[in-house]
Amino acid sequence: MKKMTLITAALFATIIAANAQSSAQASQTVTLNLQNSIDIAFTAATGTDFTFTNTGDYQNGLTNLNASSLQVKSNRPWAVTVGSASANFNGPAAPSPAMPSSVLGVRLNGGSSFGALSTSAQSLTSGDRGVSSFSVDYNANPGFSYDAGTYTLSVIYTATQQ
Amino acid sequence: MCYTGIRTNRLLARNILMLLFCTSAVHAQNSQNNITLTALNTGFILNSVASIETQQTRANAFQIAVNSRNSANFSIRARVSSSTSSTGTPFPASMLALRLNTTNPPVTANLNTITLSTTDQLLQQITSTKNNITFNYDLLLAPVGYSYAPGNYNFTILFTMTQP
Repeated sequence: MKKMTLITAALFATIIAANAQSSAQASQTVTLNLQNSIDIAFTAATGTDFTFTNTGDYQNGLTNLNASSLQVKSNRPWAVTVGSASANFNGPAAPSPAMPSSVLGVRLNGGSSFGALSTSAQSLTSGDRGVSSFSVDYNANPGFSYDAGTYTLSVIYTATQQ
Repeated sequence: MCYTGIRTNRLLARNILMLLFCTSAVHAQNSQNNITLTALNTGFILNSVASIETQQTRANAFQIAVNSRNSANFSIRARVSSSTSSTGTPFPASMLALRLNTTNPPVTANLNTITLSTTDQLLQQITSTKNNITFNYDLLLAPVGYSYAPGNYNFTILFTMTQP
């Protein structure tokens, strides 16, 4: 009798469990392919003009601190180089002497010395993956060798994944 | 006493036979519950700054066909059951989300975006007279950003249909 009661109770429990929940499952794999990505952009460029108004400016040169700010986005470690697009500034025509790009120097903001620009890229800074920002200082020191006028130079920043 | 005991045993045996019948009927009904998953567009290739910085959407990525033994009530849940990567750093499951696009036939359903996790998230709690319903889901990938190294990342999403 006791055995029959136990069996009955067990069957009840089975039925309750079976009725409690029924389910079905299916799964799928989602694939994400993350490729190399890097970008560099100016976020500010407020110090790219120099106006030489007196002999002191020509004698000592002019410095613009935080002349430009740049932002690098990269999903790998990166490095930035800087160079000039041309060997000389665009300026007054001959016989005015050509002003070489080395008249303009650049450094990471707060750095100790300016590197004279040339068409050969020079290292500027580097960083780890993520979004990073930095600023640069410019120094222009033409001396007294060039005619008065407006001189322009394109400066190229190149970000490369390491 | 003996006669009474025999009658009691017969009664219990009859009940047991009835219970056995009921049990087999439940199992038969269970076998009619099923969920069929069709993945139509579940891959992401992020090859530009724009694609890394913005939410990516794969419309109608999943087609979930549900056959319910009891048309009155059922739920659908989903979770990321596993994730792997070629870089050794897996993405968090919360990078993925699901959003109902359409159902066929039309039923009253949850249209909210459901962010996935490693535990079951309720996608739908359906009360309908329809036995067979197909749910078309969009797959959303949150902006990945630049914190993750290039490589392949895999997620396995497990869908579960349950009837109370």
